[in-house]
Amino acid sequence: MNEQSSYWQRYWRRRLSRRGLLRGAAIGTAGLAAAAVVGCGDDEEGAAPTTPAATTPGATTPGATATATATATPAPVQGGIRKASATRGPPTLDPDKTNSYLTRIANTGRVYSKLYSQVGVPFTEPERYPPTVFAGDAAESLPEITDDGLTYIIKLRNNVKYHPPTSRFMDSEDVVQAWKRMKGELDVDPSPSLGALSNIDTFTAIDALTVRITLTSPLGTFINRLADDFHLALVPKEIGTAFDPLKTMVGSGPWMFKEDIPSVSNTYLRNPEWHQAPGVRPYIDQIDTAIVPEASLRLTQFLDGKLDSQGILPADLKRVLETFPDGTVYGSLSGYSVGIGFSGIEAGPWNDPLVRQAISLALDRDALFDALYDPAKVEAAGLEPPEVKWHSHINLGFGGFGRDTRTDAALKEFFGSGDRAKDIADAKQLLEDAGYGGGFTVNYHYTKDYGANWTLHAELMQQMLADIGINAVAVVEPIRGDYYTKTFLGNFDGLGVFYFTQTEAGDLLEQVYVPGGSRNFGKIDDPSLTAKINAIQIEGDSDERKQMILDIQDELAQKMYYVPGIHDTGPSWTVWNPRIKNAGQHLTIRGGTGDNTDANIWIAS
Amino acid sequence: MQRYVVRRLLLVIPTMLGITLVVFMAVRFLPGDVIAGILGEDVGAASPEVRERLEERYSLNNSIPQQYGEWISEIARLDLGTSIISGRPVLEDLKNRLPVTVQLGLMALIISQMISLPVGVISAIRRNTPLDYMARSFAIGLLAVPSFWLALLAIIYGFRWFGWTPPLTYHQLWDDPVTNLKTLWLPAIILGGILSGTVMRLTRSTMLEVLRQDYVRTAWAKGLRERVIIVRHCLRNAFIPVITVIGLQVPLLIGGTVVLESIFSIPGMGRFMLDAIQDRDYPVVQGIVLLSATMVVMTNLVVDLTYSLLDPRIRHA
Repeated sequence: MNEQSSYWQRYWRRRLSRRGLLRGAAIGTAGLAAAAVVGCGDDEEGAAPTTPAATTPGATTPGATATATATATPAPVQGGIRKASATRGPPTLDPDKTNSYLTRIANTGRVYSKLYSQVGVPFTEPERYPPTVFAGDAAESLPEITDDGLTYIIKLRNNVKYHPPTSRFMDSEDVVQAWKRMKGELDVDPSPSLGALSNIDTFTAIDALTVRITLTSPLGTFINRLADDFHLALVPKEIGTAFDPLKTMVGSGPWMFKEDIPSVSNTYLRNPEWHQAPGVRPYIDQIDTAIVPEASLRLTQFLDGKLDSQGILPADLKRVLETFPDGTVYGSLSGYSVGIGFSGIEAGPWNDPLVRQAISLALDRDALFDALYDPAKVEAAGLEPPEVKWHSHINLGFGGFGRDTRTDAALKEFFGSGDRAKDIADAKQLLEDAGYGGGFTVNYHYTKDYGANWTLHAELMQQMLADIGINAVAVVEPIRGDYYTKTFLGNFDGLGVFYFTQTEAGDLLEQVYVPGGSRNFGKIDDPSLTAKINAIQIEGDSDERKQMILDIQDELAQKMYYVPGIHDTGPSWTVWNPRIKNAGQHLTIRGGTGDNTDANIWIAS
Repeated sequence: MQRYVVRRLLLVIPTMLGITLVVFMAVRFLPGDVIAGILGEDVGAASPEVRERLEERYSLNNSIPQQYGEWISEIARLDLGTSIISGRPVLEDLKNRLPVTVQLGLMALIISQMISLPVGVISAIRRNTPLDYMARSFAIGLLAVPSFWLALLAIIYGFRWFGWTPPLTYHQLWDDPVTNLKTLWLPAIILGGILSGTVMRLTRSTMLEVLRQDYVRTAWAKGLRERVIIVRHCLRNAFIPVITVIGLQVPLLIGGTVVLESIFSIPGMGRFMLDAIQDRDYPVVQGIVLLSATMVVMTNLVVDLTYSLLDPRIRHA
């Protein structure tokens, strides 16, 4: 190892800002002070669990806020039972058997540690979302990285203890075995999420508390991927022998698994020896999650006080806030966006970029925003209505990485002027120039299984195409039917509606535009874009990398391989029962401790 | 009678074999596949080797006849296979869920009869009176109204008007009977109400048929009281076809519980099947449908046998 810190170490250190360090220190100090004066846990009864709305496109997820009612935070109090809810139970308790968020975020993410985690951000600072600062979870600190960016040396903490009955400290062999298990080398199937870490070449233990990972090529987002709840869960060596991972979980995270009653509930107990804050956090004793598929039932039970939080539609905000005037409420952007993609296996009018640009201009994005986010209802509830913004080809949820196409001078011509008549006329002219002045008929594939808002968005876009003479014929597909098995794999004709997400902007570009990317629905193979995106991914200077991501959006707009919609440019609202304190202060996107909120909230006595 | 019973039981075997074939093929004709369900949105990122390995693990790369043969041999060993999604034995999950659906179904059935039989009888003996018209309109209304709509209204207005919400989590009857009944009473009433419409109308028409019989006219002529005529002379004959229909409602119960179990968060077979269909979890779907079909076949057998007990004119050869 070089004596001077490597290029990559300096890259990662810059990302851990001074402000982040001070904030982390302040929170830690406050936590220790609270621990010194904490009383007995309260006798919270009524096992009625709750969770925020599940992490699906457009649903409430941790993220930046639009508006908030933050009040002064009292000192933390130990004890109590958090009452959460979920729409479905985990399909399995084995983290390497699924990439369902129901398992990975709501369950295994609570129990199993990772090497790194995102440093959560408060809802009052949306510009910092999604978090780009990382800290060690099971790792003691950020890794030592060689100059070529290919080798990561990671030292583990010496106090990461597995829950009972394993009850021993984690060592490097556990980490190596966890990787092997994920790869499918231990007589289990490879994890469905293996592709995200496919650039790992070797993964070995150097000593009892140190692992070395070598990559096939440098990757600026590698730590982000290690921090992702969907990826490497640090299961103990005893998994599959001392305990059955299909029936129980034994990890080292802030929560210990107690029971899972399929389709009824699951329960987690506080881990008092959690290595990130032993004896301090989590503050609450227990999480009881009820499985409640029906949205109206969840809402009524939240209003009845049986659940601690809910995702709330704008139309219901007024009523909910009248019931809980002192509750914490915030709107979050997710890292998602939804857009129209074009068939890459069939020739058609969409092969002409002028046609694709015309389709972009055909979308009345302000109207879409009103329909989905109902600013009037939000205002009627006494909250500041969300500001209308439009996605570019980088989701707005990615902090400062996405350019606002309403105001960006260079991008406006591709996304619309806001004058509907002019945009329609311009779009028709583009079609005329491309030789499709009379319009055309095309199949329009989408699924309804992502929820009502997603469906509304898809269908409104379909109707707007008719304004420029494009007859989009709806082909509605079940998500586990043709949508996942054909359309999602790019085997569709005409147009398709897709959602785009990653936890990081560069990864989003790679997955969407580079051949073989998991979200390259249109089978795009553009050498110019591929070269630029590859350069982004290996760029070590964070400022330079950000600039490259901002710059590439010009070419993406001109070529318009996807037409961004408006989904997730506005907030999803979460309201918390006033008894819950410190909610929304540590928001992450797939990179916390499962639902990162739970490890940081407390219940007012 | 004995020969009839034996013959009917023997007939169950080819019936069930036919059902297994239909069930097996039906789930495989569903668009999509379970591997896509497991991989979810990483279906595009998964390498062919990952897909092959998953297919091999769940025998999905075997030929259809081979898969069918494996399944039949498992059934013969009273093994319904293992869930592809959860990895748990199907039978283990069904053992937990079946009692829930049976309880809900029985409660609904009892409530249905408590509503439909007396109302149907009264409607018949007070034919063409306002009472009759009200009862018939009520029956039609119950038949027309979708159960899920009633359920949602009950939830929303139950809270809005009465401040009431059902218990958050389900408890088994033997663990916590009070909470169990608090969870099930409303969906049972809704489901029972929906089912009662058909039986009410049938009861009315069969009662009218019986009331026109000569022996009933004779009973009136003898000066017997109305109650004696209705209870002792009419009901038993009127209920013979009604019992048949009640038996035929068992499959309706199984189907009817799907929606209500989802809305009221009841962990029964219906909801289990819905989730399994969405996930393309073939072993679970096959297991549930097979179990449901078995229940229907057996129920119909019991109804047929009960028929001869109720009607001495019927003797099974």
